[in-house]
Amino acid sequence: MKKYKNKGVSDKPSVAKETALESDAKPSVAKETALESDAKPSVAKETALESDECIIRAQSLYYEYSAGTPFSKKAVDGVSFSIKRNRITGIIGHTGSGKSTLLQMLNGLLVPMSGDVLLDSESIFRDKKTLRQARFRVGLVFQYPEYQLFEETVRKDISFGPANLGLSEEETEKRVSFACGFTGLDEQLLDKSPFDLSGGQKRRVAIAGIIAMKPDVLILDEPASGLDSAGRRVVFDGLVNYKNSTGAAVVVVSHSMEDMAKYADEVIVMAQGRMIASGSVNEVFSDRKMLTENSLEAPVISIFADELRDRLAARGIDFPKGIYTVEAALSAITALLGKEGMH
Amino acid sequence: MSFIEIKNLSHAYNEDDHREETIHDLSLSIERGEFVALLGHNGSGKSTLAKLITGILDIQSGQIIADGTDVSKISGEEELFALRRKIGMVFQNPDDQLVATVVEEDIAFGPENLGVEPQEIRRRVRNSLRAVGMLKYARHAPHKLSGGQKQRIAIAGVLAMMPECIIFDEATAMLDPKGRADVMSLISRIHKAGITVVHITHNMNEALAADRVVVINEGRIFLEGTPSYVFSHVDELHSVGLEAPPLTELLHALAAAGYSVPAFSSGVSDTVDVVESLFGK
Repeated sequence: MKKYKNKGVSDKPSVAKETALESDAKPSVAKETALESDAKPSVAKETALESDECIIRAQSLYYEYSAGTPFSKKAVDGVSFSIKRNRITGIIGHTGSGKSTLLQMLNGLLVPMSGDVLLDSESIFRDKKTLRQARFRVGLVFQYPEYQLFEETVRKDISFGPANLGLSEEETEKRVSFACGFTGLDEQLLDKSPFDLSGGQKRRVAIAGIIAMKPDVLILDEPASGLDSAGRRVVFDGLVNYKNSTGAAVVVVSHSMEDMAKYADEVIVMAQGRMIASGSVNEVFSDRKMLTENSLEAPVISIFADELRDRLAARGIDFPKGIYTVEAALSAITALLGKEGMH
Repeated sequence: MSFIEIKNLSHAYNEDDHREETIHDLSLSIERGEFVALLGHNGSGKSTLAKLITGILDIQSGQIIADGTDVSKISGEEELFALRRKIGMVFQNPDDQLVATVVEEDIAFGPENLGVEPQEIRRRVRNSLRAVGMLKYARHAPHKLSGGQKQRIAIAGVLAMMPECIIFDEATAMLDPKGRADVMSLISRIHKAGITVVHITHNMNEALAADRVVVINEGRIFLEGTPSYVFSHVDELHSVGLEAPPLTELLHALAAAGYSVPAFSSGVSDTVDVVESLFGK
């Protein structure tokens, strides 16, 4: 597994330094977590240090379908990583690479055959209580969640989760507006039937239903698939806002390298049930060899940027690395042209 | 006469409320053997249009003539079956369109219903499966296949009806990149074999493969032409919630910043040449 000099998603000493730097920049989050670790004095010293950063730790997860039969199939095979607060972690990989199985273990819907999932350093599988807590704290949005809408009105559908948490009607109502805010849903839609909405709106109602639970970890399986580009933007901008204003960890499975390049902070690459790489977007997307070997295509802008870099190098011009989006390519090109006095 | 002629078509899901029309006075012709990509944001009316063409929805106002048949005048199942045999449709969700428990039985379902001879059915099943590259899966259970494979089976089922036109209604939307690529190369081959193709998609790269791109917005034709013509109109696309392919978006942004560059990128190396030339000779 590639970890890119230990700077990846995995836990390593360098991470602590990074967090120290980061907590300067984002004091509100640091404070929140400080409060939280106060509340849990039992947490070991080592983990207290890390709790700033890491909220979920997956340890050597293993899962097999039809175990014990001749048809057994390893779905997830020895996968370990950690998920950080206040980050968007992308998971990429082909169909059948184990992504969905992995997600279901992270909130305890599937029990790993071996390995463990730690939520704030505590196993979610310890007992019924921890498992129930994990289901509330780790929100999971399945692929095509709009097929799971069932209530008479949008309001009732979004309220379902918070009402199950035992919140008062007033608080539930607040949660509904809170969730509408992050999903770009017009509150005028609240009294309509979810079945009268467009596909994109239904999708956002389903996501709002999970956001209304205010999960500390929000996991989404292909949240933007089948949506047009404006719809994709609304969904992803909402996730970024949710992360920024709550400090939650957001985990997104996506086939779109373009979306990953634009929105993710860190990326995990899965293939045949194993994690084959993890790291920052830069580290993963610049490893063209690993991507090609796993028939994953890098964003087209990064392929363009690489060719342009070679071409300009021949002219003694240094085109920067780590360009994956239209915006980044534009500013790199215009900056260089400005310097060369070509404008 | 064009293969499909759509004239002044309007449609509202709530027939009494014309403010809620999904299709407004839309006219469009599709030529025999053409490959047309239909683009538009969610809810723009693309799928409604496809369902009107294939007689899944009844025509409320306006006219559709498909291969000489007036679709609004179709009465009785026999004529409807004849239309659907001529114009097949592949939908978004592969799980919604497979009916049998064995792949070859699924493919045989359509021709069987048409009363095709058993020997001819066997020939068509074999040929269709070979065409989509799934012959060795003939005896498999469809539900154990991947999304892309299921979609190829659904396409084989349509091919077994020997249609003259296939409408793909976001048939790649639920697939992973490999499944998408497989289905797209299959669509291109189907087009080359002379079948008229209408491909409804959100994926701009897929639209690049078409002869003609038609952008639908609020039930009207907003923009149409060759892919290079349509994607050169980046500002217009943005105004209706769409984007051009990334490299064309980049050229557009450079042009907006005052550089003189073409409005359309035909590929990576072409765009590298353009940008390099900005640095002088």
